Amino acid sequence: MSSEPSTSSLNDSFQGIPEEILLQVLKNLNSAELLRSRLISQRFKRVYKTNAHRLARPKIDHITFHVRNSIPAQQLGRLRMPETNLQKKYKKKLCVLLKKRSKRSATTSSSSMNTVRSQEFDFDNKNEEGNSANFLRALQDTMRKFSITESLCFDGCVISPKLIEQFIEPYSDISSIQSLSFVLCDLCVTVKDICELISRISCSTLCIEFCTGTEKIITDKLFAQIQELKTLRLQTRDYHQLIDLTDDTLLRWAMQKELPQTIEMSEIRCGFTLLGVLALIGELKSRLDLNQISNPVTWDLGSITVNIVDFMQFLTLQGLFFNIQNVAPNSMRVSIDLSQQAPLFISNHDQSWYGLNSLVFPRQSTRNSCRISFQLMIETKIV
Amino acid sequence: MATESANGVSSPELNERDVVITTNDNRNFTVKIGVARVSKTINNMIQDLGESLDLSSGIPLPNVDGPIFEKVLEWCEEHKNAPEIKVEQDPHTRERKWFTMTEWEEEYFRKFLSHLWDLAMAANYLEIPSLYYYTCQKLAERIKGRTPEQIREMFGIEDDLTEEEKAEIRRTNVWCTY
Repeated sequence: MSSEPSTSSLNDSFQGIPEEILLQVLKNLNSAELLRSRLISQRFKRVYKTNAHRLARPKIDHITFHVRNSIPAQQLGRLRMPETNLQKKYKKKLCVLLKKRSKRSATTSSSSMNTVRSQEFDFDNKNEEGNSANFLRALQDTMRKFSITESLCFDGCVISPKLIEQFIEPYSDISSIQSLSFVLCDLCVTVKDICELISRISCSTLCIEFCTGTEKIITDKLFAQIQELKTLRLQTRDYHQLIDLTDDTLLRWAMQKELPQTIEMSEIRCGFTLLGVLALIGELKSRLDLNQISNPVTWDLGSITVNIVDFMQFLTLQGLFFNIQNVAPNSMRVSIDLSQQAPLFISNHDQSWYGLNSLVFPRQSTRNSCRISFQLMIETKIV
Repeated sequence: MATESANGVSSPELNERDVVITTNDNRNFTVKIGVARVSKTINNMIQDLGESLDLSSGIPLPNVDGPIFEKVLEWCEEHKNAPEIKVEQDPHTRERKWFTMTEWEEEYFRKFLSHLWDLAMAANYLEIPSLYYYTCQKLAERIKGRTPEQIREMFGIEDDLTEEEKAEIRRTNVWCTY
């Protein structure tokens, strides 16, 4: 490298070299070097631009597709009549947010992310079809250009089968994505489509919050696709909407190599049974006894319907310490803290149910705490 | 590279026979078929001609000149028995895995450092994957770690970007330093 040969012959040859060869040279560079190579000349800039989807691409840790409404800025200081048709004034926008973990804090904290690029696309309120085509194009462009390593998030988007297809295309690299989130989305897809997507990523964190169409998505079939679930957050739009999840899913979680760390489905009413929940807790307890739990466990398993006989049996259960709170008529909130060997506490706010005494549950956080809670809806009909 | 074919053109004895190759500056090179075959383009010509191949009249190469073909032949001689190269890349980032070069290959490129573009073009035309990919890698190695000014000077490229364009590129490049 030190001795620079005469450049005369190189001068002549560079002008005439075909694009194919220049491209082949660029294929040996990494993404940062490629971006810098654009500063050499118009030709380098152009070759990179037209071939970016074939050249090395940068890794992005987190990507969010965010569709939001924004009201155009209004001039202040003028008399304004109350807005009668605010809806018309809204402008829909798609925002593609790319985030990268900062190198400096990579070792210290996990939450520090730098926004590396934020792109906005205006949507036309009148042309829904054009919007979804624009969305798909933006998505395709992004997926070609970047390798997504950690999480994929949709916020306020319409999730269509066509959109899912974009991720299944060979140019998309999603295999190392661990976290998938849908927030305020319209899930216009079948569980099969979502399973298809999940099968191509290494999903351990799933978040479906305030979406429409969840009842046909959140099923045992969906969870059968997730090998090792670590974190789950479920929220429905309607309070206590019934979700078609059964003990099969609980059993699947109990058989995981590592039990899920966080389950948040407090507002969800699903088809779990008390027996299934207790089986999962039993599994956690035995692993805890064997010192196999290394991270704090927090589970909220939502609302479970139970008949009165089973409930009475549950109250007499030995070897499990729990706290029961009467939150509504025939509805009890059960909290279990496996790391604390506290006796049975029962608190009863309205004092009307079984006349149980109200006691205070000691709350102390421990490093390896295992906290489980769920709500029991008691069927008082005696069978 | 020497694939067996039905008409027996690829037999070992044939590899030892000579063929005359004429470059575009009318220079004749007498080359062993086994060596010339490293070039898929020449190999195809030999196979297409088959039995009718007249070894003495020669194969014309209208797109390569003598001085470059001489250098290419040097490579072919060394690589006549080399296995097919494998191009590997990271499936996620599409980053190419670089080839490790032998001492001979390093020396070869050191010797012809000022003819890399010509070598790449000849190797591309003659379809010699090893020479083509290795030369391109060598060119990339020369681009790597150099400033745009240095690269322009090295390859004799005209600086045809405006200051605004450069500023724009620099602005979008900022994040790759994260």
